[in-house]
Amino acid sequence: MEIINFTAYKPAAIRGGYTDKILRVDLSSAAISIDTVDQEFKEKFVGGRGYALKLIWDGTSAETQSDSPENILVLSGGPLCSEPRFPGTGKFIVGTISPLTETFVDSNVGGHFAPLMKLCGFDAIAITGVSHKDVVVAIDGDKGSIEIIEAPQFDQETELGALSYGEALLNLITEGQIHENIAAVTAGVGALNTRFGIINSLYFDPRRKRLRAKQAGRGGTGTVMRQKGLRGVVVKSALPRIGANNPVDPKGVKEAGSKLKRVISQMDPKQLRLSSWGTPVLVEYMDRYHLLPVQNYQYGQHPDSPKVFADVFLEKYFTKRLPDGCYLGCNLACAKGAEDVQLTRGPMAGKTVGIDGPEYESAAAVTSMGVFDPQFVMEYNWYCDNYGLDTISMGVTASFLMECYQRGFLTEEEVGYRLEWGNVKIADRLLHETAQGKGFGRVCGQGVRRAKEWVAKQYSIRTGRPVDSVMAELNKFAMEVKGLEFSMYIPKESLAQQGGYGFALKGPQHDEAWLIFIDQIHNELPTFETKAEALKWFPLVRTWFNAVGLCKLPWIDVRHPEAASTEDPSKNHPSLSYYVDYMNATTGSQKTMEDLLEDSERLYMLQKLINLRHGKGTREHDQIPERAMGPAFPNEYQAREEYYDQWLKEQLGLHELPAALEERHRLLMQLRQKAYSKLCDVVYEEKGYSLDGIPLPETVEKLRLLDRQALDLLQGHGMEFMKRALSN
Amino acid sequence: MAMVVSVMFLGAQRSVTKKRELRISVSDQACVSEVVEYVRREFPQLPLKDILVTVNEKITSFSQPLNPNDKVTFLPHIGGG
Repeated sequence: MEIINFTAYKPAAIRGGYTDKILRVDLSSAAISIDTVDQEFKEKFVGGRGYALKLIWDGTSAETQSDSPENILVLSGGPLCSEPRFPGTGKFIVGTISPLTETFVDSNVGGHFAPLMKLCGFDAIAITGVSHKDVVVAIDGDKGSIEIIEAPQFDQETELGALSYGEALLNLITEGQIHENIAAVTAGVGALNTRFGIINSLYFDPRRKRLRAKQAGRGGTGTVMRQKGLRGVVVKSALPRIGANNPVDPKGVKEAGSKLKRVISQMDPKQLRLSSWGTPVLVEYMDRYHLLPVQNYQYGQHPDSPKVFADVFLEKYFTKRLPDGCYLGCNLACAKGAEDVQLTRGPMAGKTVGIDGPEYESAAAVTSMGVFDPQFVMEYNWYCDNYGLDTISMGVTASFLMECYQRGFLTEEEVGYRLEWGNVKIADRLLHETAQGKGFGRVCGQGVRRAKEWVAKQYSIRTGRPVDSVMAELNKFAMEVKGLEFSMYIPKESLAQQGGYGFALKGPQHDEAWLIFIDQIHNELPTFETKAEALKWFPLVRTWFNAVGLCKLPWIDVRHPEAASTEDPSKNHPSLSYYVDYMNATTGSQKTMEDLLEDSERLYMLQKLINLRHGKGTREHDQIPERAMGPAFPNEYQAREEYYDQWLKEQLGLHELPAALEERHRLLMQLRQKAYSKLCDVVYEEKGYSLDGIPLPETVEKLRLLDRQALDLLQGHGMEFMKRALSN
Repeated sequence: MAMVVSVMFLGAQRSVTKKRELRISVSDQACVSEVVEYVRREFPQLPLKDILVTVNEKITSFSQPLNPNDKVTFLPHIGGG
């Protein structure tokens, strides 16, 4: 392995959850440097997403594209990451300018990488520049060395995969003795050939005796990594994990962790049983409540759905009775996996592999293509991970193109084959073509927004119909906002979730707000005002989790037994109080929940400002496709005709409806669009924006974000205000 | 007069009930609480505390009267990951 640059260093000690050091690597010049984080930076931007946002706000400009050398790939944990005495502390954030949205995106991922990065002395790693040849960054906290090395080359099959490459790389570094004290992030060939490449977080699982992988899936972070010429980042430290986070109050940490672990062990077996079934258990619930995105979100249910319910994976694939946490000490342990699965399709057919997953999202992505084959779900999951593709964006783009074919916007000649729903061979072929950048896969690999533009142009050339007119039709069912594909829930019948997707700053990913059940099933958000309050509160709490390095599931998917008797059961305040205690015990702060929300609001607002800077921050960019609001076409109305008729009667106060289904469909969509527009107004007011979705200067000032750049940006958007005090 | 309603068992509930659906004959005046009590007696191991009940995919109260062929489900808390 040729060493391109090397730096010796002494790993900073962890105090109160922080090392106060950020490692900077510039791949253009192969420069390595270490920044010290000052107190104000730490207090204002917390960690994780906050650090990524601030580094990108300061270090890039409106002209920065995802593939610009100045774009920064930030890997950042948080002060609460790396604590086995508390559940779900292996999370970190990968943040960057996205090749799909061309604004800030981040994706959270579990595993051992961030805890080991912290033990190596870093709260974050910020990577800029583009290397002329593929490289690996290797950080050895035990030796005190940081190296940029020429990426080792292996055989062709190994080179193609993020999993296979990572395993070969770690085997090389450890001389075939991969262990728990080393972890890596890698991206595969699919990340290079598409805009929705993922980053795999690889760690050794001693129980399964193999490397396992979790994924930073959304927004194309892996694509940025490969565009920079970066094949992997390796971290290594043999320091003990227990007590490693060096909290100010270890007893307080232990108490808070014990309380939350007790809730999980008592309540999860009575609720979703994520510890036994993993997230695929959601497939059945989504199908039951018309939320499964079958055939590009046209239908919420399908008679074949039981073929991909969780019990099928549990019986046929998952290893049973094995704690499967992605980091030490998590008793929710939802990271299910399977061993010795023989691949039956694709270039590695016949090979036997261990598979991490599927998560709900991956199984649902397969149903979006109309496929209900559990073996294909497993293989789709594994190939996407190995190629380095986001299972969600891959599935949504493929299903959008399938619907284009269904509705005559695409022809067999253009695709090269009949792009039909529910055909495993076709779905499989498109997956491999996309990952390998071949044939029609080159269109699919661009994601829905750019594929939509390609289809519109082709159709216009073929038919003579104006491109704008074709785009108007495609926009109805192209499931993207801001350039990111929707995650795998149908929001048609929940206005709050429509907002949850539309206002999400990174694009329609549910990690800002998942309000479907609270709104649609529980009817806990009956007014615009209650929806707006939820659309402010939930994103702030969820932002906090992404800033401190924690998994949200122990809070959001395991309800505390005392939550039911609180004013807002869905907010699960009793569990949240343990998180506040954990934060204070770790860092020595004396914050309340309100303080944490204010910290989150600062980060949320900074992300909004970056969106504004990159042309994605106004009302027009929060608009969602008709398919997200209701039945985009009459066939969807017809599929739930009785339900939609009843809804219309209640809304209009009528006993009789027009006889023509098309007219009822038109009336319904008119009401839905009007409601979404009103929701925008109310939510913008709640969040402190103008009616055009632009932050009001006083909101930005209140959060101490009004620096020169923010001032110029807001003035450039016509925001008038008096003389203001600038923040750093 | 009697009528038949269905109880649908979802997800992990089936590991207790070993069946997807239970069809129950109840009086035509029956309400949700009667079905819940029946299921409690039939499957004492089934955790029904703090569980919401839906009828035909809509959240409901225990005093809600039932209609023939209604589908009753027990919904655990789902927060959305």
